[in-house]
Amino acid sequence: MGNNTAVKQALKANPVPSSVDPQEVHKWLQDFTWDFKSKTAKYPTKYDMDVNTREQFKLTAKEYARMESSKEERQYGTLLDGLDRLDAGNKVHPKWGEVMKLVANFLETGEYGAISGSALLWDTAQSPEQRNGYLAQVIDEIRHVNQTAYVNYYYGKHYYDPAGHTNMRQLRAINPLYPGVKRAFGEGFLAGDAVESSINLQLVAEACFTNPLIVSLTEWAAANGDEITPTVFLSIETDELRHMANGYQTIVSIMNNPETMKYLQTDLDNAFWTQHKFLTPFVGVALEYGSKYKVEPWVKSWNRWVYEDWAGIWLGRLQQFGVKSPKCLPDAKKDAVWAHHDLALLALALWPLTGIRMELPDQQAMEWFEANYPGWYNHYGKIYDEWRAAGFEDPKSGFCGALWLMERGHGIFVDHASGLPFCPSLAKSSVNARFAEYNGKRYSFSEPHGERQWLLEPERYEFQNFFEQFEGWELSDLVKAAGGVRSDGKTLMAQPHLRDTDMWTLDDLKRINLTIPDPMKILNWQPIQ
Amino acid sequence: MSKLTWYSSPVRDEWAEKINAIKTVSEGIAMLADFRKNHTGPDRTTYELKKEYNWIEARIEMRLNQLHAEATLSDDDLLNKTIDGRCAKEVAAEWMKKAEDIDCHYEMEKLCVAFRKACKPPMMSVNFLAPAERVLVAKLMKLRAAVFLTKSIDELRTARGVTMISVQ
Ligand SMILES: [Fe+2]
Ligand SMILES: [Fe+2]
Repeated sequence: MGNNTAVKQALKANPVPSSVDPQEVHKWLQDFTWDFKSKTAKYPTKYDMDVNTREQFKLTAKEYARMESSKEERQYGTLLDGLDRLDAGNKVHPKWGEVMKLVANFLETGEYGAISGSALLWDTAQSPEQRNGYLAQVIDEIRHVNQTAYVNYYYGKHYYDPAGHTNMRQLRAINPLYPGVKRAFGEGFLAGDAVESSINLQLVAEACFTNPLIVSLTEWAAANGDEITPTVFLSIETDELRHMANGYQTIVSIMNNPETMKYLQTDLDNAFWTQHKFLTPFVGVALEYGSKYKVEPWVKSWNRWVYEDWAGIWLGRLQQFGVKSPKCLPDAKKDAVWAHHDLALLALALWPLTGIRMELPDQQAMEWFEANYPGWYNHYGKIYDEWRAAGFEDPKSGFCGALWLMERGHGIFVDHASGLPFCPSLAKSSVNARFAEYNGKRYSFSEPHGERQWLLEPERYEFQNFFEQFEGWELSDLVKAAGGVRSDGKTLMAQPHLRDTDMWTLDDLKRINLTIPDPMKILNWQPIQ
Repeated sequence: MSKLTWYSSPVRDEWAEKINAIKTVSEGIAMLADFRKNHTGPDRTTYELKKEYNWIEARIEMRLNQLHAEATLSDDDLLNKTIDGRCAKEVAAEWMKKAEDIDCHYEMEKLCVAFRKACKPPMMSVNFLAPAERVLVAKLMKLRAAVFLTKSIDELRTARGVTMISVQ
């Protein structure tokens, strides 16, 4: 058989090492190269990945697995023994315990996308060493899927209100924020150019956003009594160094080719904007609106990690090749101040669809917001005070923030590039809305970078948005269909407060009398002259 | 049939009936080609089935696959010929040849969309479709990326025939 001949020839050229020293074994393995001339990868790319690229970690799979299994023992041991005895699940502040229903589940989607993303890089790379690095990441990301899912599972068993931790994979089907996860992590990590996926996953999501995301998130968690999340997420973070290095090696592997610079800036700008559009607002909402005890304002963490550390120092190292910081960076900087406040307003307006219990910012929170985001009260705080007075929490009120907004002419639309909802007339972030008609269909965009992405790659944006998907559904029917009801068959999992009295039921939701409309159909749209 | 699934709609029932009525491969090919032309891709002629088009397309493909497999006795024909009996290797090569002289990303995009509609299984087996698509799409991505950040939004809108609208 041909295969046997190839193995025999390879063994002749590279005799088996005389010791079992792992580094020597690793070096020996690297000498096995395959016939890449006739091999073509499955996935398209604009780039040529250099066959001689090195990889920094130089671990064999066996050494690597040994290291990871020791991490697993420590983490699951802590959770199942130490933290169980301390009743850690019930020491979490409920505000935080609720938002973790979303955070752990949404990140699970990200880890799942990362498995595929690093696997398609494994397929596309030409250098055996580089493939080894990506292979290790595939295994890591499988570990992370289990870990993030385990956070929901552990909470489901140990936290006093498991509803939602138990079935977020079902509930998220109607969550208007979830399409943002799908675009950034689902599609961004694993579709299109393999190198562009690497830039999304490793160069931006991991090298740029896991620091503020995982480091900040664990600090905020601990401040709010949560020892579970830091135990898991810091274990995840120990793998991220390798993933960031993989991202750097992706770039190194394409840099010798003169063609590369024709495409790299485009991919970098698009990846940064795609990841930023979801991560910046979502993480800000989770930290600042999902906590009782505040730590560093999100905008400060963002500026330090994203703006100074990543855009400054990290990208600075690529300047010698002609890579510039993304054109959209100034807009992102503005978003870091306001985008999460814009998104929080919509999340609170649409609370029945989130599957979790959320409350309006209380007096103490409002003072903190105003102190750290001057102008916050006059823009957002006033609205929340009005909502409170109008019966936001009261199940008999029939009040709904989304209707309140629409009745005052503040339309809610879905950005067709990021998949996230936005409200043009109330946004303080970099929103610059535009609406288009193309081939008999209407589209909404929250800003020019996303519109440009759609204009150039329309086939990438054929998804149905929230309004298109659920147009015509009555609100309580929709929540019921998505499994958003507790075991009594009528009390909602989502609530607009954290008490166990005055909980909303399906009947209370019916009282709102809301049938989901599609704003791109019902409004009177006319061409702009 | 709708009783067996958690979600059903009159549109699905109506299409399921039409699809079940197909009895030959050639009828199936005609229906699939027509459906893809009118209801899939950014150049579709109508969005009236936008909620169900993925489901319907998949059902037509399943039915056509079944009829094709029943009517085709040799593995070799299944693997190496297109559904209408042409040599798959040659057909794929023709598409790649068409791409050679294109240097405009809109033209290349049209070719990629047309290729997918014409050749996505069961029209052509995936062992020929995927390598050809990788070549075509890599070229499309190169043409786009080179101008992605430099063309003005107005230029892009005009080239696509996009109309900007507002609420009156
Ligand atoms: Fe991960
Ligand atoms: Fe990772």
